[in-house]
Amino acid sequence: MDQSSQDIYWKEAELLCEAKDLLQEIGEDGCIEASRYAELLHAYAALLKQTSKLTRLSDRDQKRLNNLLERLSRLVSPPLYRKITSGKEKLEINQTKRVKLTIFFSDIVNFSAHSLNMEGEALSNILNSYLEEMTNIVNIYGGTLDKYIGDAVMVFFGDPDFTDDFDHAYRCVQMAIAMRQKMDDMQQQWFKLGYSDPLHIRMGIATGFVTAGAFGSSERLDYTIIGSAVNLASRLQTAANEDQILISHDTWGLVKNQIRCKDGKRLKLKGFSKLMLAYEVQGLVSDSETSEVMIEDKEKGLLIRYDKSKTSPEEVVKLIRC
Amino acid sequence: MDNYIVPQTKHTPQIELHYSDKYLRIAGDSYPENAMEVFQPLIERLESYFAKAQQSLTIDVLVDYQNTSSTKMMTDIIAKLQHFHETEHQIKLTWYYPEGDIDCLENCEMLLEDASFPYAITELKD
Repeated sequence: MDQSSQDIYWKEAELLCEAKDLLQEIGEDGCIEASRYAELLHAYAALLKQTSKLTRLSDRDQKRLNNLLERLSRLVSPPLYRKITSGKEKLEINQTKRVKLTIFFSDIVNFSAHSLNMEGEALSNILNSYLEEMTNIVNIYGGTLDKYIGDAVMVFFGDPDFTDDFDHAYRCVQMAIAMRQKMDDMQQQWFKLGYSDPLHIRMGIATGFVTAGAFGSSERLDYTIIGSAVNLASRLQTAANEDQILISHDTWGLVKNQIRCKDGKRLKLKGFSKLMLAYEVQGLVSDSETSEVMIEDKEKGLLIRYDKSKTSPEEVVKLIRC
Repeated sequence: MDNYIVPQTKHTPQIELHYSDKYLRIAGDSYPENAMEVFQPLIERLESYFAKAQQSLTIDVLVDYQNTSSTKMMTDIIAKLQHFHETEHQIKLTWYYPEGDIDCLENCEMLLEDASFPYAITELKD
């Protein structure tokens, strides 16, 4: 028992001393004074009552704390929540780290314009159902949901749960494809509910070194990431068209064998002095109809892509020989 | 007798015992390292105050969160108040809890369940 606990229980300690004294006062006949025994019994009864009350209150406080933590858990992403509550992440200002992550941004195209044509309740229904579904997908793929910015969503992969660069990038692009597919379902649902204008999302993904940690003031901290890759993902999202997923060259380099992309295009992006290479994601290689064949060997400068449902390998060889 | 005034800190509540107004106020969360240091001086002053016959005291408590040590000291204070009430003193206590905080309300009810002096548990509107 520490000093402070000993202090608050000084009366109880005294009670024990009294009981010991009484024991020593037992006469030769083995009897103790009934009135003193009654006093002691009364004090013990009061003590038991208080202990019982404190235990119940403590249990209630524990339950209350759990409820509060559950509410708080909705304000941060599940990976970060686990890290904070496990005590591994102290979340102190100026404690940051450099780490290579894959970062994702999405938003609903022209959402502000859409919102002008909707009633407040309809707007919040659509936005909440959209964010609910997108967040479920983020959690399925193990992303860290950094924040919602209105209709925009920012997610990153690799912190606090670091695996490897490929895994981060691959899960991130898979997540984006799943989000795009989900939007098709949601558009049908919204249409049935009477929202005639379809909503479309656009997404940007980049991989690179960022600074991760708690930013803000000592009173209010925000666990987030900053760096050029973050800006790039954001700018790619802005540059994307409806239902498009644009990925940076770094991300493409990691997932090119698993993800089908259109040829890279150099884009002029705000905040970047040089043209940035970006690729439009078409889908997963494993999901393709397998009619498209791609043979790539950079060392030999070889890149052949053809549709085997339309062209046989022999015809390809013949074409090359020509 | 000088009033007993202890300002609120990050982990301890404000305690104000105004003898002339016969008024005690305890306000703020209570998470001290040593709850004895915070509450025992108050208990001693209450004992001195009620040493005179037929005293009266109006008490307002606005404590939403407290650690177990503070709860222990608070049960001691309530037990003292009960004793003063049973020895011909007048006690009137109001415990305020935040609007809609049912957990806090139920904790207050539990703390005061054995008290027979007049008390009220009142919701404090935002």
